Amino acid sequence: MVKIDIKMCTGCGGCVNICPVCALSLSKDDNATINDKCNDCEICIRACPVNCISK
Amino acid sequence: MANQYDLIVVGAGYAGLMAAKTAGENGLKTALIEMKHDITKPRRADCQTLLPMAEGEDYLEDTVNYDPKTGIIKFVKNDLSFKYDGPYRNIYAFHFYSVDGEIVKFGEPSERRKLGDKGRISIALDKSKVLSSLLKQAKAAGVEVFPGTVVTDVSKIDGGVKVTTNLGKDFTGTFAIAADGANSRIAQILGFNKDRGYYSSMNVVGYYSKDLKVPDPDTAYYIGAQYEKTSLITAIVPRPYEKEHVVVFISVDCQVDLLKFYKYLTEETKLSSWFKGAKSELVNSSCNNMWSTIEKPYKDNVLLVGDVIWCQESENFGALYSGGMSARAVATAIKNNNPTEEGIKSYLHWWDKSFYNNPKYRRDMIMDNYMLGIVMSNEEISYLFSKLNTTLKASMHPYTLLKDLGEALGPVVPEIQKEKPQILAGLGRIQQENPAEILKNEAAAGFPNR
Repeated sequence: MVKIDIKMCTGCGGCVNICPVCALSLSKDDNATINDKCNDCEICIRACPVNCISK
Repeated sequence: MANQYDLIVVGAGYAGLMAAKTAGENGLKTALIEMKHDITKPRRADCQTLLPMAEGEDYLEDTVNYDPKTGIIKFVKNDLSFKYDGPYRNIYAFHFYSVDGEIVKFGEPSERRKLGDKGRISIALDKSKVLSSLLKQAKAAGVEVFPGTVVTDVSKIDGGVKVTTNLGKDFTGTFAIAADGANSRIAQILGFNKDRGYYSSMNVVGYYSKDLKVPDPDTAYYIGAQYEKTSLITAIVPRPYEKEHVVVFISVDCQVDLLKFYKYLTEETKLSSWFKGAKSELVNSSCNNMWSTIEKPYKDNVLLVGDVIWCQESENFGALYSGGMSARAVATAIKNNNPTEEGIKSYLHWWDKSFYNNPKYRRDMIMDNYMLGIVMSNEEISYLFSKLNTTLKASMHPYTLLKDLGEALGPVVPEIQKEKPQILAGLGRIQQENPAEILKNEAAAGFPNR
């Protein structure tokens, strides 16, 4: 499962609709958050404009 | 038991909020679903302007008026409007720069400023205030708002459409409006992305800057650059507050590190002096898939609006406008008890006539703006800009700007042909080739949600 650095996340939500398995959503503070549907395809890592998602 | 509505709007950006507000005001039982919890905080990077607004300019066969006394922003011909409760600032000119400081001027700000409102080519708005104004009006019109909710599926059911969310709560409606942006999950589910052209996955970061030392406070700036062999665009646009700007860095290749490009532009180029002593804060970002335009933005009782149908081409004008027009069409269909494609045909007709088959626009032309740094180097961009030393017509019109630029180039074409023919070849590619061909490498690095 990928890791999200919420200190860097701007909450743009780009990754949410990009994720092929709907594993991403926004937390109460509107930062990206991931659930256990994640299948490690890593598309969100490439998509994130501020590089806050990593393995 | 699912929740039954006349209309379910997915996405609470400009297009979705305008759709929900218009639907509510037309008496529809409307639900508005948004993945963010705080709808009023702009998280998606953009230039936060309303354009085009120069005198005599039209877009989508209409013009937009703003009356600061009443706060009403109105699309004149179709009488769509909302009240904006926030500050504004006139933008009087649009200047293109190369990283070496060569300039192409669309308008002379000192001249235009003398004309007051008549001299403006756009207005800068506070996006947070636009969102809160629209949200307030939508709620006042009875729209039920569901923030913090991600739509995971849309399906056709008897008598309408079912929208499934990540919270296990389903919604059913006679119609749905997909206003879920450039990466629209709904467009993907309905199959629109299977056949349409895919150009690239674009990355963007947005800053709010205070005390930038730009040459003129009421001018918007576009910096075209080649960086790591691809095209990078920087837009610097006034905010409606003293000495404040929004600075947006855009890469058509999602693999470029924008934070590194930020350092390069602000520390290593001739324009770095603009950024000395300024306070800049990273506030938002976005990653957008750039698709070709959708011909018929409708399927199975779902209407598509805003960035879903034509990426960034619409700017805020088109987002607000398509949102309003789609909701109006749904209201007509419900009133006539005709919940079919025939019932909402006014929306499809409007879209076809005002944009898709409007001879004034070359479809997907907006991509032209993003390709300069692919077909030429920074030295060549500087050379090209240095040849255009007249002031062009003041404008920020996304569709006429480049036409004007091409015409202004006319007299110096023979000179360029002699000195740097590769520049004309590059411009020719932008004009004639399919953007997918020019953006081949960028597309290969992207992530199309087909």
